Amino acid sequence: MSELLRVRELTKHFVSRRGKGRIRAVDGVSLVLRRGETLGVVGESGCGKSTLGRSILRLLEPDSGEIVFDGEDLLTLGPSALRAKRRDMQMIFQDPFASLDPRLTIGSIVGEPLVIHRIGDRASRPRAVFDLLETVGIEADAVRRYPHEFSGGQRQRIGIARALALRPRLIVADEPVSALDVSIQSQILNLMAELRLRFGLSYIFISHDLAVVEHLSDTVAVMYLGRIVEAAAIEDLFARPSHPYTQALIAAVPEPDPARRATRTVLKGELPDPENPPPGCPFHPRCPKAMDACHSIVPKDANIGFADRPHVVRCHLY
Amino acid sequence: MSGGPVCAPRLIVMPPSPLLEVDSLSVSFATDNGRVRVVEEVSFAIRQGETVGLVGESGCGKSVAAMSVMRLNPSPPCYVDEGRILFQGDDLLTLDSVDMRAIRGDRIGMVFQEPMTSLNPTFTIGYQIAEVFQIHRGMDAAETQRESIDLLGMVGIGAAERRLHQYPHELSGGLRQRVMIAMALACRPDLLIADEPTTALDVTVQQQILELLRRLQADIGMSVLLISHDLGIVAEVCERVLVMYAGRIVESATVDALFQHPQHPYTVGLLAAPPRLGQRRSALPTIPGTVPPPGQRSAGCHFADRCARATERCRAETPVFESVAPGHDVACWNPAP
Repeated sequence: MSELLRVRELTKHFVSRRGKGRIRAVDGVSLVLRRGETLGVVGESGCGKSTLGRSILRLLEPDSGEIVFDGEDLLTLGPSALRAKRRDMQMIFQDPFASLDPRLTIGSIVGEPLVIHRIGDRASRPRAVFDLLETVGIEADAVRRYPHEFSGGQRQRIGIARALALRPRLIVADEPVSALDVSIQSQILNLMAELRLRFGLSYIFISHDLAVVEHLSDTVAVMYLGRIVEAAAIEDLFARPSHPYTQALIAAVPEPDPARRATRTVLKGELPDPENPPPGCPFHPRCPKAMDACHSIVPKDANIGFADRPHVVRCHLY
Repeated sequence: MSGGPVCAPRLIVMPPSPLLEVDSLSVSFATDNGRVRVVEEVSFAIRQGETVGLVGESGCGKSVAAMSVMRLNPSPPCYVDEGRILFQGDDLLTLDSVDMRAIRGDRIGMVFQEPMTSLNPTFTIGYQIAEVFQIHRGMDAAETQRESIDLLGMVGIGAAERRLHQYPHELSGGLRQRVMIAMALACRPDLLIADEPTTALDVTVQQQILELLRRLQADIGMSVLLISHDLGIVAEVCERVLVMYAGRIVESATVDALFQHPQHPYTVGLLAAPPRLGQRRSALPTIPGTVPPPGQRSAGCHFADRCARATERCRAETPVFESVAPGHDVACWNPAP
């Protein structure tokens, strides 16, 4: 399958509030997304996964790097060209309570992108909105109602309808199910899988939840302190998790199976201060396999897979 | 004891009476549309040293039920309509506020989901821990200092002396939750109520906190009521599970029984729905619809509208909470085979 998106050495630093340090939220990230596929980005809070998602859509302005979408570098586009390009790239947010304007009706929320991008006219838009709501499983009478009248799962469906309005090719979904109840999560995940097939969508699926990422993704990138520490096809990553951080993340997922109540190795410590990342490999203070080199030398990417099916690990063990 | 008949101590075998016994507790909230029931005739017991999980989705009433034990629900708008909460023989619902305050934080400790909002940002960690000792134990400054350092050591916080002078915002989420646990355990309570204690934490830190809870439970021998939406967490730390749906307990069993032979269709759905590592499926099984909000719950079984096994009877009559196997109770007219 052909490439839809290629990100090369993307970097986004923030100046810290105290004005002295720099937070390397995204630090030289490269990734590839093929058409019709889903790339999962997984990591703990503060690892830079949301900043990465927003930087790819240029909702945040990256400091440097390249974002080639459909053959065109987004970072070279002027404001109007970028706005036109945004039709192809939409976002679904985590919090369905915060991402829908409480004063707008559902009809206005879902129809707004059509108005902004001058698609259709007054006569045709209501029909389009009905179709979108039907697609995501929301009843048509919702158009005159307001967000507070809907549950979290229904609001997330409405957010998805809005994202679909412009028939995008890429959707960046940032923790789309983590605010939802277990029984609602699986409804939304199924909907997303169905829509991907039906509309030929590609997703960047950002989540802290490995099981959810595994379910929906074709490839996956594991982030730690602004960098991708391991990336591979989903089967390869779970068959052979290679970075000690990936291994620890997988081991930490609570198993709903008391028979497997694990005697697991619990990772020590917490994410270090992103303003003062440890020297060498940023994971070494928590790493059970840290060696001398890890304290001082930043590891480089190593491909432990194949040239046409890379499995990239950033660790001195490989 | 020389001379005279020696009275051999008689061994009386008695079933250990539960530490906490909640008996048909019903709680309602006053709303603009009148009283709305959020907890309906909930009964359960926790034995000495037992770890019990209370599981359910948001709005099912699990937190309200737990907060009723602590009597921490604001009233108005919250009212206990009926029921008894027996703790070590006392009905907590009949205690006056002075007696209740003596139990709260001393014999029953509580840990909340969000440590940042339950710690006071304007006081040091040391001050907040010291408060517990001063209120419940009347300790002086030197004793308090010594005990506080011990306590932080017990919950795995290094450099305890320095930490006592820090403010909550200077600590990470995991450390804050450890401080909360330390405060809850300061008086070695007989019961710890932990309401979503790891939900705000990252998975690797969550494991650390669960490990800590397991260790402390074993060391202190306290009972734990763990409230969670996550069945995985419950499977890892609990011996027994209560499943709540729309204000009622629908199933109660040991973890092994519950995960191997769930009987209530809601439990079955809850276990099947989430994606699991290493078990990719093309589509996930779902529970159709959404949890009915309080006040809009149907007669009979509240789950009937979403249940594939629902019968006429389910829509008309409230299911009786009955034993299907020793230690396994279900409120369902048509349980899963």
